[in-house]
Amino acid sequence: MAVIKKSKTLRLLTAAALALPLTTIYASDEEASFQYGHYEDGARNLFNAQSGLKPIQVDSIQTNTKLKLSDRVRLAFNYTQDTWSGATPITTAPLAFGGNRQRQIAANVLSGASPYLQNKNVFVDSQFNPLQQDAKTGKFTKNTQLVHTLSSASPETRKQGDLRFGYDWDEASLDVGAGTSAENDYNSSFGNVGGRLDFNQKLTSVNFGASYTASENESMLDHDAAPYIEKSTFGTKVTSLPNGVKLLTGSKQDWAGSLGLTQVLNKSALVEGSVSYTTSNGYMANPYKTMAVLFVDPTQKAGKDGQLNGSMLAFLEQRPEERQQWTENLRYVQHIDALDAALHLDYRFYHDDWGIQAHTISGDWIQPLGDGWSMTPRVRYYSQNAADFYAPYLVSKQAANKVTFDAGGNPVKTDYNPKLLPQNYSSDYRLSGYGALSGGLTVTKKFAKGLEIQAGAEYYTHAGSLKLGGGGEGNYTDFDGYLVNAALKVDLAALSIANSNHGEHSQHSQHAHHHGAGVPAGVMFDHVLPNAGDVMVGYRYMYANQAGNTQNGLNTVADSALVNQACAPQKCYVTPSEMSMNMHMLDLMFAPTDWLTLMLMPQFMDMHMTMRPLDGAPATPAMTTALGAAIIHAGHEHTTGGVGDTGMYALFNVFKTDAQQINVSLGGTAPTGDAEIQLRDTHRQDLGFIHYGMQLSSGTWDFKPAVTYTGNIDDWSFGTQLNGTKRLESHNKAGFALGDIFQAITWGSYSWTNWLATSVRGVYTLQGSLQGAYRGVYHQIGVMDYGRNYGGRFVDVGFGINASMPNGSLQGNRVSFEWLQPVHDDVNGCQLPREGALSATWSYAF
Amino acid sequence: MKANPPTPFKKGAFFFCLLFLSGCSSVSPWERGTLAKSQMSLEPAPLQNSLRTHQYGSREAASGGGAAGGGGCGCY
Repeated sequence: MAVIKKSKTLRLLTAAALALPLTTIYASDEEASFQYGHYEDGARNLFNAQSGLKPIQVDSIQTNTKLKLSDRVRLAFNYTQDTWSGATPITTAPLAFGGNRQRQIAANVLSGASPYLQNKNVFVDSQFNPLQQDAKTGKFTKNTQLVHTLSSASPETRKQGDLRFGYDWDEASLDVGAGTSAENDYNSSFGNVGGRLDFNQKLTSVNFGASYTASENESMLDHDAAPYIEKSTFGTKVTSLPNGVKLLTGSKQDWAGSLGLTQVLNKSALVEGSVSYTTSNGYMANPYKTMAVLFVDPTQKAGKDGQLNGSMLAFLEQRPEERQQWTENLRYVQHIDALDAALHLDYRFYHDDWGIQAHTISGDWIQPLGDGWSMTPRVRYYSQNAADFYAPYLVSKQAANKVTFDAGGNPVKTDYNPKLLPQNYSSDYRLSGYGALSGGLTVTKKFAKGLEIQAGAEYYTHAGSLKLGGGGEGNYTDFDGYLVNAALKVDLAALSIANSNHGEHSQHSQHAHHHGAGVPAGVMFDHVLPNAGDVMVGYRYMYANQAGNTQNGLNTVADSALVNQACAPQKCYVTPSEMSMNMHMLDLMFAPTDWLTLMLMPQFMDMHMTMRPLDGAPATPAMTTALGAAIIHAGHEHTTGGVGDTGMYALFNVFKTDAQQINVSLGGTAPTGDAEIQLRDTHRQDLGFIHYGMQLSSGTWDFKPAVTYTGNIDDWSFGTQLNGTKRLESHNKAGFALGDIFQAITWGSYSWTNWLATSVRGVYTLQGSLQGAYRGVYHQIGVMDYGRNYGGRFVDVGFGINASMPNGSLQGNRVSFEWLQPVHDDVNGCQLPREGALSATWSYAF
Repeated sequence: MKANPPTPFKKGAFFFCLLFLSGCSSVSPWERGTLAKSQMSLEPAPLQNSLRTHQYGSREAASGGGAAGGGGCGCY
């Protein structure tokens, strides 16, 4: 028997090895994955000018789904979202010129540094070295130390989605994909095609790819910085909007192609070599970086200490409008038999026609530890030399402006001659010469049922002194940062294999499906897992939108009334015109015993809001006041995004017959999200906290009980749920607490076939107003800034559609959608009416 | 049966392999068990890799190297 079994296994393995190219054998054809990542820069060295600005941080979420539409046709969908905020260098200048200055907001209280891009009274010696003047003695000393000038940004979000179709032949494959990426100021669309040809019994593969990307840039120049930026060299690219905002527009096209060869060297090693080429044309500068130019008139008479007087002006950086990039890549993978580990070595050589050459070398050691665990330590080294047009700052030997007198004795003012400046220049530290060293560790756990969890961390350090061969940029550019990530991957094909092999699981999944067949997408806590050891993974998405005319109670209200009532005793200047929220939730359920189901629900969200000025509002105070600056700033759309609160629940079944059951859920959310997001300084004013509704977290520990009844008769199913949210703290760290919530839900659904059901739901929601108020700087400029304008009594009707895969490789997967239509809004105070909410869920129980 | 002459591609693959002293040995399908292990994948952690690549791309000049396209601006 054993011999027969062995040979059967061998035959299967042989068939699998022959059927699949080794370069792709490991990638599952059907999987769903979710990843969260967080990157954060460390503080920059600003020498004696300490910045209170928070360094840049980026939160990313990513979902990927791969499906097989038939034996040979694949479909993949990827979605990525990044939200970032914080400070980055806007320019570089000699320390002596005072680029970063802290702003005093009260006695002994200093706020974030404001960037000073212009200084029309600086001193240099006869060799044009910067001179520092002692404030007390007036004495000059040479100081060549450079420093970045930092500038901070309010949160911004980028979203990217792409779709890819693939077709597999026996010894070849072809993929065609397209996608789009959207930001406030930058949109790009791309298409690509890639393929693989296998030879030599699939020991050799040729890979090729080509892509085209078209990007449009429409950047609003920082209104704090714009007045101090020389735009003369940018011609028509910078335009002024009616409100005075400077807009920089540009477009860019990239064409790229790649060709690679993968070769199995022996039974425990393989190698891949590839080359790629990218040609780009159009606007390739960074609209938020400027170049400091020191103008010194060499004909001037030196001062008594030999000092020359100069002016430092800031120019938008200028990069060539064409770029050709080449990359040669070599990857080698060696199995270490003694430890069953794999060593991955990668080397990449990059060069372009901007004069940059870069070397990257990295090594990964993937060490399986048994029981599904593996550990991957990793090191990477990167080194590049500077672009031809990189300089920390420029010296132009001419006066910034000069007054001379004509023959009649009349003064004649002459400005600098821009033609004496180089054609291209950038002080972006990313174009300087430096090296970067990083190291990290990833831990992965694979569970038997095709579920994989991964967590990783990487520390990154950038330093001029790490440049290969020396000669890198000074230590003022040095910084470090770290990247952490957590990922969940579900191998859908492995799940269906597990199901077909285990009758018990298969029964369970059908059981869960039967009870859950008609539950609308927007309902949670409706079911428990029946058997100890059961697992369910799911993903929930919710979109909600508010727009229209502001309401007071049940009725719309005129602007004039809003101005006087909604913010009393003060006046309202603005009201929201549109607010939207996207929420992504992971739904992880596990039954440690037959009677208890535990549920963990991490949330990721992003918010978007636009405001409009109210007719009849009082005149906006001057921009030099904080209130004035806050009102002007309301003209920009506001965005936030990142990790939300984390739900943790215990679910019990308290009553059960064949056709009916009652489940109770006890638990709540932990305040893992940020409830203290602030707007960046603008017009040298501290704008303080962003509006309440834009925070990503309640900021409080919240108790969220629910009791749910579900039943079914023939093809009909129905249910009702009561749930609530009780804030367990009177206020969060920022000083406020959202109102408590009570909700009553009832629904009915009909199963048209064994895989399709539709549902109708009624929802009544009662929410209290917001309690407390921000403790700290906060400018109340509009309707959304008062706690009494939150909460209310709401009625919605939901229309849903649910589909579950009854058979095939995706058996047991369930997807559902529901649109929730508001039918009655009785708001507390004054609020923007709700337009509706969309819920979409995918879940799989096994 | 006349043996097929080596195609230009096969010649190329041969010279490519010569770069590595170990050379290419023929690996029968039943000897590919080690190569089929997940740790031997050329891209063992694609999710994490895409996150890292995006991060490096926003911090280093030598971005790209593939032909996938996209990525947005990373203007920070």
